[in-house]
Amino acid sequence: MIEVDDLALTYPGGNDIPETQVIDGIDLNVEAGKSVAVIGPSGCGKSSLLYILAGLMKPTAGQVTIAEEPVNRPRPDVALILQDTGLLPWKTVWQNAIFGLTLKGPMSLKQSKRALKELGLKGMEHRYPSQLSGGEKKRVGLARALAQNAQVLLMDEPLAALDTLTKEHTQNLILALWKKHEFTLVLVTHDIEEAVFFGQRIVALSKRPASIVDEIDNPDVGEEAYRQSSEFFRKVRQIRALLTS
Amino acid sequence: MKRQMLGYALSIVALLLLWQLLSWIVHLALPLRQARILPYPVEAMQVFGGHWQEIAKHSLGTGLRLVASLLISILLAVPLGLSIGHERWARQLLSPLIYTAYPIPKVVFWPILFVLLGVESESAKISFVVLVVFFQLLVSARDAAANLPKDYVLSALAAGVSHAKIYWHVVLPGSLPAIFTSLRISLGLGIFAVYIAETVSISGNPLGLGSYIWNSFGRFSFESVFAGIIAIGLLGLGLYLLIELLERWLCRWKYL
Repeated sequence: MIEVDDLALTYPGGNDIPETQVIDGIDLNVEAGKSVAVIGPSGCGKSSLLYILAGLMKPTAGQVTIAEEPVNRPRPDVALILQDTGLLPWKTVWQNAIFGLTLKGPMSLKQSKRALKELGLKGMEHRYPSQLSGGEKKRVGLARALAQNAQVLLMDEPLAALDTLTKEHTQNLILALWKKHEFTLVLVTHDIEEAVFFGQRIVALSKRPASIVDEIDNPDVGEEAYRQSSEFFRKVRQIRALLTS
Repeated sequence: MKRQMLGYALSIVALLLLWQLLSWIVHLALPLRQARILPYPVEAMQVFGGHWQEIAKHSLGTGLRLVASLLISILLAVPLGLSIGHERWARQLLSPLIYTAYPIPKVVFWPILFVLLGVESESAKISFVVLVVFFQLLVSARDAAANLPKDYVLSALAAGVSHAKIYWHVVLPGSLPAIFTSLRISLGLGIFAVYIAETVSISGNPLGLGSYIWNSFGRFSFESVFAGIIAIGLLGLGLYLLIELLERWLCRWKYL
């Protein structure tokens, strides 16, 4: 589904700022319907990798293909959820949910209504983001992804600002949606437990310039009570040791 | 809004009391010939009431001139400012030009416009007000667009919104609160500029509160001068409230 081939990214310098290499030769394959969590130290280039996958940035070298098509611009079947969800404060819940839908025909609108209902946002269509709680805002971002029938969901530290309980609740919700809708999930995070909770494969990146340090299989993702299992904590310890070594 | 209107009413009363107090002091301290320059509020209001038709006519002239100038300034400055703020290449190319032109006191151009467009022509007066207000709005729109959170633009681009439509969906609405703040400041600047433009007259009594006040000065009719000042104050307040209502409508998401 997603193929990343020898990807490199360098920010050009200028005005006494030296050029900065951000990503250095990343190869990554994600099969359709699978989940990958990308983890690494702050500022290592995780978000840049995600923006390249979303078609918002062009790599300096290498290539990204999604469904065997090179990614040169944003695709309608790829949704991106940013840290603060990227909701526009001047648009209502409904306007945010349908924002960017290329075909706003009756089918798409019906799908958007269904998405809002599925995420428990029915009756909140006319509210503005400032009238929503942190968890509700995340759900609107997810509704937008479902409304566009995204085959790939890219998430950039989406739950970083939430309190513990809301975070766990939203994590469970995202996991349930992933299992139900079978989209491909790529999540960038610096939260080890979140990476273990979501990623069937966990990709650990080095400090800038980012390259892959290790890939850890985590096949139990999605299983009942995985978060409380000893295997979950073993994986957390393994990744912590990897990142701190 | 009701509470706000009450606030405005109380402010007006406070202003009148302060005026009354100052007039008392001036009348006590100075001989009558000099003290007449600051009449009591009631004297000015008597003139205001007695000449209300003439004052209304002049207020309408000034108001229309001001509104036309503000609209032209908005139409010119906002799209340009937003594109300079949003497009890095435009910012790099045009910012030095703005930094150079912004601090120049625009009043120096008044005689030039005066000669080029005609002494009492509407185009000279409106061009002058536009010149004064334009840069204020331009700089505010530019800064607002440049400081928009990057996530808004990224999120819209990721949702497949075209580069051109980003302006309509993201850059303009995101910058509107700052533009309205700037518009309120511009209103004050605009009133100052329109007053200057209207005071220049060679034909006696052209339409506008500037010329009404200036001519009243010439006749030593200080009660009329202050009646004109009251009219300018009311005109400014009316336009200020209009801008506020417009902002509350267009930026209702900010007032929840």
